[in-house]
Amino acid sequence: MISMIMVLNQKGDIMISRQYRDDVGRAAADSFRLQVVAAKETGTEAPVKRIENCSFLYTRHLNMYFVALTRSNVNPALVFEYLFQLIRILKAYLGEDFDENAMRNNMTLIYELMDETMDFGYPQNCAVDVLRLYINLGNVRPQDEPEPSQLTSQITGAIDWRREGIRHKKNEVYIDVLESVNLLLSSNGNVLRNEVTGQVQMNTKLTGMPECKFGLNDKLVIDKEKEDRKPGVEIDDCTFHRCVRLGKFDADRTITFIPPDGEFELMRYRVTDNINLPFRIIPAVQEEQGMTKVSINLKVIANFSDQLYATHVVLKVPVPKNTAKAKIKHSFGRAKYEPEQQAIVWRVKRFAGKAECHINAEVDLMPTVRPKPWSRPPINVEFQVPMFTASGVHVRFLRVYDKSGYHTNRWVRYITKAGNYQIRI
Amino acid sequence: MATAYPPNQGGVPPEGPAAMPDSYFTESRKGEVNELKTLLRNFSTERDPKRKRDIIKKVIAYMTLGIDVSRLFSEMMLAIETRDLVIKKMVYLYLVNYARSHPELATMCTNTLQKDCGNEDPMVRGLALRALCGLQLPGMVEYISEPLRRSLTDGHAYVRKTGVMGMLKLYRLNREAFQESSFVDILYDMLRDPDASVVSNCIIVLNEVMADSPNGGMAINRAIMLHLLNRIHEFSEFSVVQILDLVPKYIPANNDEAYQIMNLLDPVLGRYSPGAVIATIRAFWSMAEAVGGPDEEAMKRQIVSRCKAPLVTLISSCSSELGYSLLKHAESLIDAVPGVFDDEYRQFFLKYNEPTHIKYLKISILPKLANPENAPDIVAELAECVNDMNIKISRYSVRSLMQIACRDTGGPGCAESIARRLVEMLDLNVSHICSEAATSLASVIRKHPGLKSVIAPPLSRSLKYVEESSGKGSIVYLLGECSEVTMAPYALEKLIDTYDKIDDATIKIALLSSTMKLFCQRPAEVQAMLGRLLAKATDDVSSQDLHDRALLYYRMLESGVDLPVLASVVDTKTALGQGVNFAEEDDFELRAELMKEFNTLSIVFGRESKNFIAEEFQVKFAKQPKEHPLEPGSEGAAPSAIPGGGLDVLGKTSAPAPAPAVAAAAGSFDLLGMGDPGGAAPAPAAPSGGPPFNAAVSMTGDEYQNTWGAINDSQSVVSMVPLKKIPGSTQEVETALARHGIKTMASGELPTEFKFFLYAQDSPTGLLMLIQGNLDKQSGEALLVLTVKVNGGDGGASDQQKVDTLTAVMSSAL
Repeated sequence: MISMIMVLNQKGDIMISRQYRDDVGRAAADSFRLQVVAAKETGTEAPVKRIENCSFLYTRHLNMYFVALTRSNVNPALVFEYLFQLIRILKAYLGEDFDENAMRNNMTLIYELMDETMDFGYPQNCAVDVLRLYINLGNVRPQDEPEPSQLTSQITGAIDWRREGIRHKKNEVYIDVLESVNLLLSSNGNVLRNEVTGQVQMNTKLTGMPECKFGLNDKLVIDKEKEDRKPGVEIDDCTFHRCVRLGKFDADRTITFIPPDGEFELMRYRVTDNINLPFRIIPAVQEEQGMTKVSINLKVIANFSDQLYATHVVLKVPVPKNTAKAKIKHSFGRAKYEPEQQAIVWRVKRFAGKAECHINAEVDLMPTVRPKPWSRPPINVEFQVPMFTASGVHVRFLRVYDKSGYHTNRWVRYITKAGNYQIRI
Repeated sequence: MATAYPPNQGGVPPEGPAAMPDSYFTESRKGEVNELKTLLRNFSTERDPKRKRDIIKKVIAYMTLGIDVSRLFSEMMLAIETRDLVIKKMVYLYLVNYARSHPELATMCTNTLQKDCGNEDPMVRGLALRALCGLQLPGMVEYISEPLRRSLTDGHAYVRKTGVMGMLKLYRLNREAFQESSFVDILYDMLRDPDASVVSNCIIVLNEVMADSPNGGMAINRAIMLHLLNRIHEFSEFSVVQILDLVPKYIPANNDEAYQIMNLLDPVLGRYSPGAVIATIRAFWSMAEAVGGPDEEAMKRQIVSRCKAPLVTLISSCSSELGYSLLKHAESLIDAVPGVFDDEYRQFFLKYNEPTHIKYLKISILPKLANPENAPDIVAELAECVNDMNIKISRYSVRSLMQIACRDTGGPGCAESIARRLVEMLDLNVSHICSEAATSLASVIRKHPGLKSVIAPPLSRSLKYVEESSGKGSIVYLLGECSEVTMAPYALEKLIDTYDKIDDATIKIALLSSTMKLFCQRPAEVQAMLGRLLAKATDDVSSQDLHDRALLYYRMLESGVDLPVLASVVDTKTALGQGVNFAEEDDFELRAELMKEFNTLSIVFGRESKNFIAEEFQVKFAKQPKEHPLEPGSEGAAPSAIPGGGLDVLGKTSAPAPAPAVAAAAGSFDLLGMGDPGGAAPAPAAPSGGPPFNAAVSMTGDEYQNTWGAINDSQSVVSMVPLKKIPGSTQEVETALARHGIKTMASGELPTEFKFFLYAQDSPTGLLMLIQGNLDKQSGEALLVLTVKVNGGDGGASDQQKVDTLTAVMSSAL
């Protein structure tokens, strides 16, 4: 069990501390400040730290530390999950990027939330949707005030993610399929690692307690239905929001659920086979003798239909630390050497499908006293391609059944973006 | 209130953090606190709830900053009488914070709190109860007990769940008072509560309250376990872990039950909740251990391969902190069941922008995944990492390469290719890489003496630019080992000539023993330099070890020992035999211990909990119930120990054949309240062999209805049968049951559920059992709920036993 949760700022001062058990004191914050915050070890050392028989598990949001203290042998994944859940709840109440000031101004709200989500060191109900029913300070306002007696049955009901009696004038469902492509290419073009992690985000505005049925072009389902259309996608593994009936999914791979109201993440999946890489990049980097010059040649090919286009394309081509200047030739977009990034950064707002681009850069290096080898970090690519899925996943149907039989508007969006899209040089 | 101002006890209470040593500053703060005090006392604020809210908010804000606002206690207590829920919550918070330092004042507000515990709004009831229990004042026990007891039967789950946690607080406050009242029994009863969060809180409380019992926590028996597992889908991601943590403690009645439990848990792996997934793995693991026997290893392998995909998905998509914890757990699974994760090795390649602690971990995992197929890729990846700008990462990568070579898991030729790469690194002219490569080569040579010819060429030149002492020492050691290098003595000679500049004893010792080794091989060339070295070393007093060794060698040479004898003394015998690993690799005992503490910090720290958890926080781990596992055969129609499809636990093909009917014979308490509390006499077991139900029985519809009506509803027994899937029609179920002597009177299909009216005759006693079965089609879980009435039964334990038999037969039939 957790003895204490505290939130510290960058300097290590306590902003919020809630003691659930009396086996640790505020003094513990000092040791954390000295050993973690002052030592600047976040990111380099493990996020679990042991100081004098007390374990500190911590994570960060902006520059605040969220720390859980415990003296017993806890389940670390669960503690982290709680911390993330707490941050998620605070985001829902205080806005996506709440900062120190927002925390200070909403001190009492935060204490309320911390008391409600954890009792005596054990996590309790952490569903934002339910919490906002009865804790309604801050930005979050309930759409309509439910009766208090009805309220508590919601707090702990069997379907605790949705309350009864929700009404919407228009019944709408927004489905976002977000994919991020992870790619690691070795310098000679071998694929070291390639996978797509996808999320299906939903925003439901539905009346009543509707039952939804959702279908992707999952290979296992398509094969079973024997429709001789496009072949399905082989999904390696998927996980679902709590509302999905796993029993049904196991039996016949149908995804049925009663959705929470508002935004939630329906499922996550992972695909590793037959991935359409949206960008092909062929690098040629040569360090000249004597380390005075580096020449970089890049060819970038957009590997998707010419009906589509990619946005926010950023290529970061690393150059050595001692770069003096870079002469860059390129066909479109804007490219320049950015010393603070130690890279040539090439930005294109709109990159049409099937387009090709060459970049040619001559990098002059400053002479150094002792030649230091260049570590040659990978080229990093960022992009977004709307209406394209690298895995080929698409939504086949979403059916909404409700007693009143209303009509539902459905909107589907696809976005593929770069996760870790790296090409070694 | 007689005194308007609480006596000022020297300003700072013992609990309050004396954050402001600066007296000037304290004064100014005091001024602010006084101002708040006047504001709170001001009559006009009474009428303006918004303003009052703001003032109280300020008080709370000061409190968190560590400023002592305890002087406002009486004012704050006055504010508790309000209808404003927000103010109430804030005052409760204040109260809980300062009650300990002002017990006499806190007692005054108990009345209000008690009154609030009876408020019509369940929210207020719950809040007041939580505040009341949170005061933690020893004198309060009598005030707490009553509202607590009332809360447990409250109509609202929110109050009940708060009440259950309140019991834990009461227990911490006063153990005697807790034990005097029969709270433990009530808690066990409440495990049947319809609300999942109440149940999970009950488990939490029981685990802590019973920590000193021989069970080291809540006592579990078969009835409790199966009851909880059947409901597992109702629990939220946090509370489900409470149940999952009970499973490793449970000894299944027999192997079939272990398989059944695993099947029930399998859906949890599909949830997006790292905590639950890891807890499930641990539960699976314990079930495999419970089954034991020759198949245990195979089963564990199967478990890990089942859990691999969910685990990898979580690792690749979650935040770095969770990823760290998950990777640690994955690592211990890889250690325990080598080979299963091998094909996912690409998941463990480094990403450029990961936090370094994740990178370290991945580098240490990669060598464990090497097999002949993927070794080239892994070696290439690690060789890339060697060039990383982060010195630690490049060092670790070199070490990992060495581990692959030393474990020799990479197939033929792998060790040699690694050795070649390491040799190339020696020439890289980057200090830390050279030195690390040299140290690694020294280890590789010990495992693969055959690779000397690969390593030998660059040694003498690299001696010049390896700067770190550990690396230099390794090179000197290697030069001694690779005596065939023609230049070896001359390389060492240079070092001997600059002996005075060496300030590290390890290099000196290595130099001494290497020179001796070379002397044994090529006495003529080395003699002169050895003499110089021995002269210097015997005079050297900086290291005792060096000094003594030098003297030993010197005296041996002086006494004219034969070369072969000398060589045998000098030979350090550091080579490892075939199939022998370095001691670091052979920590099986520690790993086995750690697997017992899977899903705790022990895995993250890599140490047993007794090393880092204070004794009072240790939790005993005891397997229970004691009578399990039951001897197969002793209970009549027990199935064979390991059925043919036994290993197919995780595929969902084999029907979970549950245990033979065994009365929940445990019974210090009647946990699920199903049996006779007065000492359930174990009823006669079903006769061995014959079918439990008489197939020849028949009934008419009227008889059925009359018999059903004649038996009091309170005597009926409810039980549940998990099905593989929702059946297509009632016919399917009926035919399956008829084969086992369970007859159908009527059945029907509604849009939402199936209904069955069944009956059967218990063959040993001839008693008729009437069964009503409901199967909810919408809940998504195929669970057949049975209501059973035994005609002529005593309503006690023997009925319960018959129903158990029935449930078992039915679930095996379906």
